[in-house]
Amino acid sequence: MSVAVTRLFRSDWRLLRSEQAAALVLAVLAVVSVIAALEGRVALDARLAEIAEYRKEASASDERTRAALARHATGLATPADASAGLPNSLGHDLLLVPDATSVLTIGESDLQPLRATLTAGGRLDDLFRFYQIDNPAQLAAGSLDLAFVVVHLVPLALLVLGFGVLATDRERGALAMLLSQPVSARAVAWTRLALRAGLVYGIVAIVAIGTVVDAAVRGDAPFDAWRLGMWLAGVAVYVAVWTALVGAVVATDLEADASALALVALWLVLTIVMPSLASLAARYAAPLPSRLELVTELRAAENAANARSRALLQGYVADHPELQGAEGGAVAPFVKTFFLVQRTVEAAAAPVRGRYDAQRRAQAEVVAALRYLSPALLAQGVLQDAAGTGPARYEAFRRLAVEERARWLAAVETPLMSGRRLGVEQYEALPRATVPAERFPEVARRVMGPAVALIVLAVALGVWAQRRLPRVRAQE
Amino acid sequence: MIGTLVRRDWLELSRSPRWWLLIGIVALLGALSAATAWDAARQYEREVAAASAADLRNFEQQGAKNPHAAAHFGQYAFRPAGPLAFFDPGVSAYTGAVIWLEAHRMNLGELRAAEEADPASRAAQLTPAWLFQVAVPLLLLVLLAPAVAGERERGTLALVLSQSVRLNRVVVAKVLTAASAAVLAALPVGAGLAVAAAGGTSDVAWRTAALAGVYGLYWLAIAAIALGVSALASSRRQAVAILVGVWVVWMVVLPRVAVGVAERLAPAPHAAEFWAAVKADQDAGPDGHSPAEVRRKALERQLLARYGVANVDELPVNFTAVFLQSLEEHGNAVFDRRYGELWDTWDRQQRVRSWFGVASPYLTVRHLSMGLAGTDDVHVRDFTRAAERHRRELVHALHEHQARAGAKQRFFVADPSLWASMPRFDYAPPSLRSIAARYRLDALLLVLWAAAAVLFAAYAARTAEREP
Repeated sequence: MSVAVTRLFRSDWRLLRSEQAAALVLAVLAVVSVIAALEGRVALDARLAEIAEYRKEASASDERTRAALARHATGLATPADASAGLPNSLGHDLLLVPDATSVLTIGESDLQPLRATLTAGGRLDDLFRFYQIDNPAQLAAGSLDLAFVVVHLVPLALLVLGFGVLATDRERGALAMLLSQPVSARAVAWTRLALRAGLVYGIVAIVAIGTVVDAAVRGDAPFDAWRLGMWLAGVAVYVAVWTALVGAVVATDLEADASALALVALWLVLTIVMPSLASLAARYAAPLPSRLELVTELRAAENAANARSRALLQGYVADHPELQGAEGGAVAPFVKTFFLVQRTVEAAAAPVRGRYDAQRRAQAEVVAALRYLSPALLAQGVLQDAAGTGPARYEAFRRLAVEERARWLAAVETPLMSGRRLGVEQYEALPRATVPAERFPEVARRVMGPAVALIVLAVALGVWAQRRLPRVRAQE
Repeated sequence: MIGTLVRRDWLELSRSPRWWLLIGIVALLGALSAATAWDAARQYEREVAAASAADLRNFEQQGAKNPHAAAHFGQYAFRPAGPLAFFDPGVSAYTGAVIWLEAHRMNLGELRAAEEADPASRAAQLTPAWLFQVAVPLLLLVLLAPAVAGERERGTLALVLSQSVRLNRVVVAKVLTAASAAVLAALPVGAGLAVAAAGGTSDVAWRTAALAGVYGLYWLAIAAIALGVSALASSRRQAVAILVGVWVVWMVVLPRVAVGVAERLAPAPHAAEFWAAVKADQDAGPDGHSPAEVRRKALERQLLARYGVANVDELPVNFTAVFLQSLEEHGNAVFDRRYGELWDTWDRQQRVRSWFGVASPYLTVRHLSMGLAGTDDVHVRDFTRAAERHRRELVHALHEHQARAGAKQRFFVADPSLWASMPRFDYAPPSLRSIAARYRLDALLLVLWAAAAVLFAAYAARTAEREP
C-alpha cells in the first residue's frame, strides 16, 4: 500500500470517527446483526429440539419392539405384544439435522419438513406429514436472520456511508484542496469506499463467526468450516458488488442528493422490485399444474383400486407362488389388501406426479435463469446454499426420502405379504438410512454460477467507475 | 387560496419528468400486479370448484364399504380464495389449500403454496396490497420530503409567506397534490377493486369501502409525517435521509423484528411437541388414566347392562361403531383443548405484532388489509373450524348409521347409496360485521397514527412559519 493511500486511510478513519451519522449507521447495523444472529440461534434450537423429540420417540419405540420381540422369541409374549415386529407396524424416521451454519440463514428451513416417515402403512403422499403447524401469519411476515441483514440492509448501510465520499467534500469546497495534493480522485474514492465496506463487512463477519462458533461448540448440530468460509466469501462478494455500484454512482459526478436518491432507487429495484418481477415471470413462464387436481386423481385411483382389492390380493398370491398357503399368518388380510391398494394407487398416480415434478423442475430452471436479474437474488441463493438451508438441500432430502422409502418397502414386502412377524435379526437388518452430509464440491458447484456472476458484476462496475472517476469535478 | 396553491404545486410537479416516470412506474406495476393476481385468483377458484365436485364424486362413488372405512377415506375441504384475495393474498401461501377430513384426526391445511413456490417469491411478492402498503408510501415520502425544505432552500417559502399565506394552507395544498398523485398511481388497482366490489355481495362492497378508508387514512398519515419532517428539516437532504430511514425501519426492519419478539413472548410448540401432546392426551383417556382398551371394556359392560344381554353380538346396536364414536368424542375434546392452546398462542403472537403497530403504521395497515381482503389467519381459522365441524358431523353420521344398520353384524358393509345421503360441506366465509371486533386494536392504532401525524404536521408548519 502506498504512503499516500495509507495517509488517506488514516485521515478518512479520523474523519469517519467524528461523523455521528456514520457511527449511528454502523451501530444500528451491529445491533440489527446481533438481533438477527439471536433469531437464527433460536430457530436452530427449535429445529434441534424437534429432532431430539423425534429421536426420543424412535428410541422408545425401538426399545419396546426389541423387548416384545425377545418375549415372542421366548414364548412369553403378552397380548400387548401382538403387533410387535409385524412389518406393517414398523417404521423408520429419516431426519434432516440442520447444520450449525443454519443460524446464519433460516432460508427454507421454517417451511420444509425435517422428518420423513418410512413405513409400509401409508402412501407416498404420507411420507411427510404433520409438520405444517406453524403460525401462517408469522411465516408470511418472514424472519430476521443474518442473510436478510446482508441482502437487504448491508447495501443500504453501504450507500448511506458511501454516496458522499467525493460530493460532500466538493460541496464543502475541500475536494479541490485534497486533489491538489499528490493523490487522485480514484484513490480518494476507492480508499474511502474500501474503508466503509471493510467496516460493514467486519461487523457482519464478526457476528456471523461468533454465532456459528457458539452453535458449533454446543455440539448438537454438525459443523463444516467450509460452509462458514463459503458464507463469508459470499457476503464479501456481495459487499464488493454494492461497493462498486456506489463507486459507479459516485463516478457519475451527480450532486450528493441526486446520488443518494439514485442509490436508494437502485436498492429498491435490485432488492425488492426485480425479485418480485422474477417471481411473477417464473409463475407465468412455467406455471405449476394444480395440486388440487392431483389430490382428487389420487382419490379416484384409490376408489378404483379398492373396488378390485380382492382381485389384487389374489393376483399377488398367483404371481408369488412362494406365498401359496401363507394366507393366514400374523398379519391381518385387510392389512395385506391395504398394502396392495396403496401400491396400486401410487402406480396409477405416478404419471400425474411425474408431470407435476417435471413442471416443477422446469420452473426451477426458469427461476435459476431469472435470478441473474438481481444481485440480491443471487446472494440470497449463495447464502442459503452455503448455510445448508437452500431449496436444493430440501429437494435432495425429499428425493432421498422417496428412494429410501422404496428400499424400506422392498425389505418389508415379502414378510408382510406372507404374514410373517420379523425376528430380532431381521428387525435389525432393516435398512435404516441417515441423511448424508452435503460435500463441499457439490455445494461449490451450485454456488459457482451466482458467485461468478456477482464477481463479474462487481468487476464491471468497478472498471466503469475507475474510468469515470478521473473526470469528476473537484469544485461545484 | 388552497386551490391556487394546489395548481401551483401541480404545475411544478407536471414539469418534472422524474415524477411522471415515478407515478407511471407505480401505476404500471399496479396494473401488472392486479391483472396477474386477478387471473391467478380466478384460476384458483376454478380449480377449487372442480376439485370440490370431483372429491364429492369420489366420496359418493366409493362403493360398498364399512362406514368407518369410509370415514377413514374421508373428504377434502378446499379453501376458497375469496373475491378480494387478488388484492391482498395475506397468509394464503403459508396455509394449506386443502384440509383432509378423516376419522380420528383433526388436521390443519396441507399443500402450502409457499413450500413449492420459487425462492424469489419469498424475497418479495408484487401484489396490489404490497404496492399500496410499501411503494405508494415511498412515492409520497420522496414527493413530499423536499416540499417545505426545498422551498426554504430556494427562498420561495419566505416569498409565499410574505403574501399573507399561512404555512398550514401550503401544507394542506401539498398533501392534496401528493394525494392526487398517489390516487393517479393507484388508479389501475382501484379499478380492479371497484370491479370486485360491483360483482360481489354487499359484504364485499363493505370490505372494499373499508379498504379504501384504511388506505386513505394510511396515506394521509404518511403524507402528513413527510410534510412535518420536511418543515422541520434543516435541508432537503436531511428530510430525504430521515424519511427514507423511517421507511426502511417501518417496512423492512420492524415487521421481521415483530415476528421474532412475538415468538419470544408467545412461543408456539413445534410439530413434534404438539403431536406428542395430542397422542399422550388421547392415550390417557378423558380421566387421564384410562387407555383405550380399559375404556372399551367399561363401555362394553355399560351397554351389556343397559340392554340386558350377555355379549356384544346380541346388542341392538353395532358395538364397534359405538366404541369408535366414543373414541372420536374423546379425540375431539383433545383436539379442542390442544388446538385451542395453539390458537391462543397464535392470537397472543398476533397481539404482539399488532402492538408493533405503535412503532410502524405499515404493520397496522398490513393486518387490516389482509383482514378486509379475507386472507388473514382469522379467516383461515374460520374455514378450519367450519371444516372440522363438518368432519365431526360426517364421522358421527357414518358411525350412527353403522351402529343402527350394522347391529348384530361383526363385519358390516353399507350400501353404496349411503354416501350420497351424508352431510355436505358448504362453506360461507364470515361477514365483516361478525369479525370486526378482531381488528379493533389495529383500527384504533391507524386512526391514532393519522390524528398524530396531522397534529405533527400542523405543529411543524407553525414552527417553520416562525423561522421561514
